[in-house]
Amino acid sequence: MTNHPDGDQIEAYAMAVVQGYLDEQEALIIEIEDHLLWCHACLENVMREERIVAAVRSAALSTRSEIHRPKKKLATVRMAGGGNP
Amino acid sequence: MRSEQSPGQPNWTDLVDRIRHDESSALEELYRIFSKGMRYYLHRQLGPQDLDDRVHDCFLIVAQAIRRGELRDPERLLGFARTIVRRQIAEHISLAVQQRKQQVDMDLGVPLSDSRLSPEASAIRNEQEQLALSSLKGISKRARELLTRFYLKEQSREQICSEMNLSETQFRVYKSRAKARFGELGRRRLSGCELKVLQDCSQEV
Repeated sequence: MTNHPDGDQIEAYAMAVVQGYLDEQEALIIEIEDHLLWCHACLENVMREERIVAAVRSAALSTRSEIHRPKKKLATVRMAGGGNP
Repeated sequence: MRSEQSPGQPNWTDLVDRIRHDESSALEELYRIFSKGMRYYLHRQLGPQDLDDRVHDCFLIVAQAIRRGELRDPERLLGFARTIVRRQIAEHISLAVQQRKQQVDMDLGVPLSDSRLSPEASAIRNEQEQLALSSLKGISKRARELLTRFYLKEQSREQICSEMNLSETQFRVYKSRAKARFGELGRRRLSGCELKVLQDCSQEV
């Protein structure tokens, strides 16, 4: 990874972790995980994002009876540029 | 061939070289760099039990492999460390499955452990859900809709923009604000809960 993951990548990664569809063989996941192994700032951002995803989902789920859980690749999430959330 | 590096990334070649030369400061640096990330992965997969020991085990395996010269290309240190962590996780899971199987056999098919949450953990989870729910209800209807569409329904940015009449920039700004507001309400309510617990405790004393 030639740069830090951007906000969209961190968001998509955190969503995949929380929702359990992280594909550990996917090239982008491997790159992000290698990066998180040493970059504490990005790791903090991922953990913060995971907390938000989990909290929003838990709150929204309690007001809904149905949930869609599509299996999708992280690479299919459109990665626009920009900083962290 | 050297891989391209992210800004701020440590110099792996130098670090590996110093470890091979038994520099204690290099081992400390390796631990400082990797322990947090290793802890995150191990905790995510295996939970909090024996976490410090597991981090330590992974670190030792990596450090000893470097010292023995098993890591030929220092630029592959990250991939090597990630593989060690994954292998440790896989071994632990395999062992746990085996132990559980033996336990079930010994108990004539009745498993000992119950995967359901303990009453305490269940109560904490309920409180967290209530806290999150009240925070979500505390933000504006439009912000709530945006967060729910994005995080729960997993709608694409394009779909949300189209159905909520937002430009891409507005989507980014609104989402960022909604998350910040949601987080702020959660923190406020959490500190309120903690204060209430403290007050309750002091009244009991």
